[in-house]
Amino acid sequence: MTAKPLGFSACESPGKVHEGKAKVVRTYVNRRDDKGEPLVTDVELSLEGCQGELRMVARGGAPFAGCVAKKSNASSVSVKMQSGRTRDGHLATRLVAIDECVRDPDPSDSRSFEAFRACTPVMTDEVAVGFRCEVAPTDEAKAACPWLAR
Amino acid sequence: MGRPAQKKRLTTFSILCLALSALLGLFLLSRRLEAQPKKGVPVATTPAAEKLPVDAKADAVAKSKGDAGADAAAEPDKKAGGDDDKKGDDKKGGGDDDKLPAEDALNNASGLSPAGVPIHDKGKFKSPFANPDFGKPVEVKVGMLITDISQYDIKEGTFEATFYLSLTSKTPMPKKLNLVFPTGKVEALDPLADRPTFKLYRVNGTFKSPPDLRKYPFDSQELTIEVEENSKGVDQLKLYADEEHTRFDANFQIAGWDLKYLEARSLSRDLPARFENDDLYYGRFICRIGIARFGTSAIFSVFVPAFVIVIIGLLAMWVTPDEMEVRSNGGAPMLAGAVLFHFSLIQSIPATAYLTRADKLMIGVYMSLLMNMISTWCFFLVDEDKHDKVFKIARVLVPTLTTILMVVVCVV
Repeated sequence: MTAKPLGFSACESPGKVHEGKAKVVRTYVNRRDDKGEPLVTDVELSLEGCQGELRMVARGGAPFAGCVAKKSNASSVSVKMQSGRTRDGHLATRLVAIDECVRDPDPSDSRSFEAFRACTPVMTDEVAVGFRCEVAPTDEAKAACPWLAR
Repeated sequence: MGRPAQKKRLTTFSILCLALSALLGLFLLSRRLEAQPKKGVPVATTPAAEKLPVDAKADAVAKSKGDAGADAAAEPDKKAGGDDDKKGDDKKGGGDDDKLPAEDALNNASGLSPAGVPIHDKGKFKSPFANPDFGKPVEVKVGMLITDISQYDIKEGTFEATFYLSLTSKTPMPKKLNLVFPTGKVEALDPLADRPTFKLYRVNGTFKSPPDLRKYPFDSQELTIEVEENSKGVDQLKLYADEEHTRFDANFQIAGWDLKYLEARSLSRDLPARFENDDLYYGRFICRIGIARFGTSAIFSVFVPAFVIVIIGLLAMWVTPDEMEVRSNGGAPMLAGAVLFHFSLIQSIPATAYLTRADKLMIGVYMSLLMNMISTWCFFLVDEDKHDKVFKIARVLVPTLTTILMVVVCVV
């Protein structure tokens, strides 16, 4: 039996797949080949169903790049995420598919990221004077989207 | 070696260790006392907000043209008397005065107060910086994209921040805005866009937030960046926090700290009267970044060493009275070690006027070691035929009391 890193012991095992729904915010073809076909494409997603706002930017090479570039902005898509290790050994959930577009996450990719926030108004004397956003996944968000609990 | 000689040697050794520990303890105590507020000196409740404007203003003066207004307006006599080139240039809006950010408001003042301060007769505010003719105040949304926070020095309460600051409004903003950062010193304020309804700056500077160390080493801190427009009052400009455009950059991290929250709010405030009829309110945007120290790091760097000291000290409870020298060596050196460990802990944080959680833990450690040493001294105070009884009682009592004590100091 191999020893597990401390930070990983309480989390799920690598390879577990989660499915969810998202909206395409936008796609951007970053590089094209000589024929103009997408080589690298960034897709920005807004994940639905998690409490708060969850924004994800994923960069992918061919054939994912060409497939995802055809997705229109604001379209609803199904997403698959899989737990795996990053290049520094930490556990992360990585996007592996958007509908029929399969993505092979590159551990050396430093562009892809996700940002969570759950905002509530800041009230003073019953008047909203600002807002406060939790940027670490809340318990409600973890319950709705278990892959955030890591 | 006879028993009396051994006894004397042990007593001398214990006294020396105690004296050393007492000296170090007094040193620690004196450091804590230094942190108490001095009598007669008021303690600022919001120190950074009130102490730094001069620096911030001075910096802003250096960085942007034409914003010497606030300082110059605060010292009209000095300005008028000290600059010969400006003699005879008293006409409204003339010469270099055009560069003052609030000059348009000053020009519209309808009269002078008995003290010589320009005054407005109409409108909500009499302040010379008010502008009753401006119309409806512009509602400005303030957004902040924080790209980097580094060099957080908890001892000084300072940190370096780099961020983009956006100001957007539906109607044109007043000209010559004079942005100041009351809690910091800005090193670079680079305008990237300057349009009547849209302004964007890239800002880099050092900011100050007093730390709260009551829960140290499980402390959470709040880093504050404040932005104020101090030449245009709320009669011209109202600031609102822009939720959609106040964020952290992608993959934003602060080394050694866990990011918790981002809070932004707007505030209208007046200043304690700097001159007659200084009644104008000014808008301020406040951004707070909540961070927490990593718990694992805190446990391993503070709690584990403290508990190791206590456990090693307790091992002496199982040393029989026949091995008095070994038993003594288990207590006094541990006390010296605890004091040195405590000293190294307080070196990494500023002096505080209250006990931190780490201080309370160390009090528990001291008390445990003291009980340990008292149990050893009892052997010198009671007759030899009662040593077995003392040994048995101490072996049960000291670990039990220590356990209770350590639980209490960890929970309280």
